Amino acid sequence: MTDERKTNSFQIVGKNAALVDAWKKVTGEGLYTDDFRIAGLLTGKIVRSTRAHARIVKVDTSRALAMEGVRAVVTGLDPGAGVKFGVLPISKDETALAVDRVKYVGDCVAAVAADDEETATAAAESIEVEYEDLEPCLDPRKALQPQSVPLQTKSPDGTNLHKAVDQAFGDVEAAFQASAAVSGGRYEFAPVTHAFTEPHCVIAHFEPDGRLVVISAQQVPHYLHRAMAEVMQMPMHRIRIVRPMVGGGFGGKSDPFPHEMVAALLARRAGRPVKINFDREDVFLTNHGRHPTQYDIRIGMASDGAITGLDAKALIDGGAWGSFGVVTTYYNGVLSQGPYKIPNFRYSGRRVYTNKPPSGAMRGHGSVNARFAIESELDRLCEQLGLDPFDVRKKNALAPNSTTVNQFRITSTGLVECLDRTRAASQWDRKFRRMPYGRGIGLGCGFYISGSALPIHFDFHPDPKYGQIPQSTVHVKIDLDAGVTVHSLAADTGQGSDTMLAQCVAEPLGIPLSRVRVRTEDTDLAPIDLGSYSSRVTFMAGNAARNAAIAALEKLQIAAARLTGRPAQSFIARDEKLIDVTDPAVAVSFDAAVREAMRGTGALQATGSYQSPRLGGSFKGANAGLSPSYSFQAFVAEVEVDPETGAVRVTDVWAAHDCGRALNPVVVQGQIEGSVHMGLGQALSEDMRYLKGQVLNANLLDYKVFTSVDTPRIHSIVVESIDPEGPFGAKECGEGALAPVIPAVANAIYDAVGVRLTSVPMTAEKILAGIRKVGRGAKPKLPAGAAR
Amino acid sequence: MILPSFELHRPSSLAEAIDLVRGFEARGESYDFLSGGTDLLANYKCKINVKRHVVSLRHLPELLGISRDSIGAGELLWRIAESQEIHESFPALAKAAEWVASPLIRESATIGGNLLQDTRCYHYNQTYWWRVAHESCLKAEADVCRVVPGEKTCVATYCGDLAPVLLCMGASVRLVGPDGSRDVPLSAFYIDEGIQRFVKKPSEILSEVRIPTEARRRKVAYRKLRLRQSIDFPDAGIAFAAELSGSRIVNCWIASTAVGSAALLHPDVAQKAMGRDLGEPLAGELAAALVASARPYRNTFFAPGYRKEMLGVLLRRAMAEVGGFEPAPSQSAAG
Repeated sequence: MTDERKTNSFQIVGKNAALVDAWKKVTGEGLYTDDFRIAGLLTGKIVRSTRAHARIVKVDTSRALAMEGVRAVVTGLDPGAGVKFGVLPISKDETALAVDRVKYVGDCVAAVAADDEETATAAAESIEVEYEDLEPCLDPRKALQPQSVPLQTKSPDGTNLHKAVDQAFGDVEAAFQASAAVSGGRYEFAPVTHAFTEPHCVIAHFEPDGRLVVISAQQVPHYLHRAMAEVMQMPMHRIRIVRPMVGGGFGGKSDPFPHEMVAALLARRAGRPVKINFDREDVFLTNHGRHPTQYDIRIGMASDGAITGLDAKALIDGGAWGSFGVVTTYYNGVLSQGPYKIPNFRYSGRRVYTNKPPSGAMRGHGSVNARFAIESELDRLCEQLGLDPFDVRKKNALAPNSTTVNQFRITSTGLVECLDRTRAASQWDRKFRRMPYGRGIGLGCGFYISGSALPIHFDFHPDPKYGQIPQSTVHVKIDLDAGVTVHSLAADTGQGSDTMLAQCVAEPLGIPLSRVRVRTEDTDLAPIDLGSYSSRVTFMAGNAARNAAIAALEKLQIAAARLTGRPAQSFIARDEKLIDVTDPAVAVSFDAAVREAMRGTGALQATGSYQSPRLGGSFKGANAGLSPSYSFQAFVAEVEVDPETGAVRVTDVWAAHDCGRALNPVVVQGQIEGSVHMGLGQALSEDMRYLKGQVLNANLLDYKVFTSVDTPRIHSIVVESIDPEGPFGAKECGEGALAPVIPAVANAIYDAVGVRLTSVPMTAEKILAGIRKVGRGAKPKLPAGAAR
Repeated sequence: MILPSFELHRPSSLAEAIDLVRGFEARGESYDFLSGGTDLLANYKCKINVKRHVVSLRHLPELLGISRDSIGAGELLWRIAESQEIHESFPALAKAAEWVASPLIRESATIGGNLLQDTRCYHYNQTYWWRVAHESCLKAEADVCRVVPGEKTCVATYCGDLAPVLLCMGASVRLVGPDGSRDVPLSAFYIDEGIQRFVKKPSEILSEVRIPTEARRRKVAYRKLRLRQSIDFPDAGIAFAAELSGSRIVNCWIASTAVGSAALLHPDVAQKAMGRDLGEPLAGELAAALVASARPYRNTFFAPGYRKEMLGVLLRRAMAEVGGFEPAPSQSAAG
């Protein structure tokens, strides 16, 4: 097979394709978890803690058990309910139900299953829980002090510290001493959550032979599979996970969750299938959204604009559980190693437990908050040194095929092209510091992993001393109908990964998408893929799918050779034919080749897989942030600030994203637009508010996700750096495009009214207070070096 | 979330509805009226003040009809927003209707429901579980206010968009009950207390909004503060109306919403404008007086201090629109 990364003669890849499940979705025919109808299905309801921190003295379930139509009640004392689990094997601290202590308002205490929702709700409300209140820890700064009762019993020093990360490369202090300017500040981040469309939903069902089937709205069926086996104390082969259509995840469906375990516990006790379908309030209480963070940063710069060093310190509020928090703690530092050369680097991160709903992974996990701080400080430095923000970023851009000080391997990068194209498209040079007071333009750049090279479980670790099981495996089956079935456990959560798999299989086989069907919903059928998180699916599952298709193609080439007497290697697949490149008049139809290949063997099957190369250094924490490739972004936002109200309206965002080869450009555009929209929410409006540890705005009226009316014109600019290892040259496009929009807006607000905001959301109140401080009409001056 | 059980009644005439009410009153049974349902049913799902009977007013012909003199209480907000007659005679009213919530809600919500919209508060518009965890509030199950500790009256916020405009237009509402019908000027309709809210008796049905002919002589403008340009309730709203002789104010009215438990006229502030020129100096003066008199509570999205201050901006912009003296610098938040 020639290296088709360098060619542009694709038939499928790079062409806009409607998502393979689009028709099912738009006609309502597609099945989400809540759409499943199973005979005898019960409704499950969870009893949630009304206390932020308390010992459970007694749970009285007698009234619920006596109610007609109630089929099961479970508490933390049920077998399995107290088994510790968590997405990271190194940080398992969750249980299905609270055993002896509740840790936040909303924590799961007990659950009921009943014939209908009304009965289940009434039964849940009838359960009386007697608490003995403990002092809650709500402020992450206080979490670092010794606690009367630490959140985790294993706390070594009596504090609520979960994870500490300290890394240093080079000598930051010496670098700052030698810098022309050093700028820094404290950045603060309100808690934000994913706000996906479909609330979590799960159905647990024991088949007559005792096998457990769990249907769940999940991004990562495999991790649920593992955790479910531990909690239910059943071997994995006695459990089947089904992942139907999912209405968005954004990281919020990537943990194994207590409610999934609870459904299984209820189903076991009731002897009937149980569904738990969340209300929006449940979704907010389950959270696992972006960590509220306090981020202190200093950056040094030489007079020519070269970054000399970066020093960062993060205090990360984890809420009650660990979730992905160990990764978050690393990512807040290590992902600041791009997209610029940082010769001297120091990072100190602390993640703490507090009595609030757990924080977890959210789109752009670990990179978003740091980016706001870094890109804001870079603009400050540009201003101090009289340099142009674009010039400085271009000067510092990581070079292709280079290595960062923490030994990230950089292969492809399109950052310079991203910068050049947004600069031109946004008419930056005509606008920056030149627009009337109240109007502004700002730049922000980004950098993100294209799949974590380090797997969570050692089974998938590439080192020979561990499991070396590929992180993605794809099976391709071709039978007499000459259709191609693709099996994978990569979870399509609406982002279009099923379509991506179909494209990666169709292209090498020379067939249209209509011949391909993708089956990714069932652990019984699909080979393991680690699922939809860390922006890994296109890169890893895409490579596995392409490899599987190439393996299948080899069988068809041999068949074509048998039919024609020509050498197998001379056949290429195009236009549903195997064509002899040396004599295109010699061709075998795809159907005929399949038929011939099946002679004596039956249906064709082929396997493809992907395993990350071994990367990185050998220091502590060297694995965090390693990725086979990275995406790059440069965004410009234009805003109008109303100086009387402080309200900001983002009019335009020019969003250039380097995703390697865009396998499906319209989907890339969709991901960019979605990321911009989501980032704007964190920038300007979204904020989970708390009242004594209780979420105050656990609904979509009071938690302000931007509407379509508030969304600016988004000019997506797809930059294709063509990655040497990505499938057909592709890399990620689902997450990296979120972070840059926040600093771009902040820098634009500064350009508009001279107000530098260091906390998000950047509300009208804050902007108005800032305008009052700097004075109305205080438009920043054009830097001397920026005149063109 | 599911709706709690209640008995739904669907009378086909106003008289039939009143008969039902007579029966409930005689038997001492609780009841609510239901129109668009966008307010009531959302509260019901949260188990807020659920009644045994719900009387749907959806199909009462007496509650329909749009003219320059009268709007039936059952008219949908989108129909008012798109009515040519309203557009031509009372553009501010059409605009206020168009700015309510979202298209989906405007296709169900009615003008009567908007005027009678329940007051709102962070501590009240929550699920039953939330209120239990928070030990509830005065307006729901508890006997203390969570916004103002120790307060025995409710400070929940009235967030209707149409009331301030109709107040400035001098509108009245017709109330029909078992004891007959009466017209109450909107200026005497609302009570600035979050639980009582208005003078309508529980047994009375608001059947129509009556617009006096003098409303046609008034130039009216409405401005509201909200974070998002759709869905959100106003965090503050101001209507301003004036009868002008040239640029001189012969008479004027100022009404606010979403900064107290009622939509209210501010005659003391408006008084200062009589006989004066409608222009920026006056606008600034009135804005300062309005801001000084306002006392919003911490129970909506924006902080009370900000909402209070924005009242002045909203008033100046509404006056600017009516006077045509200064185009609003931006429509972004205070639109």
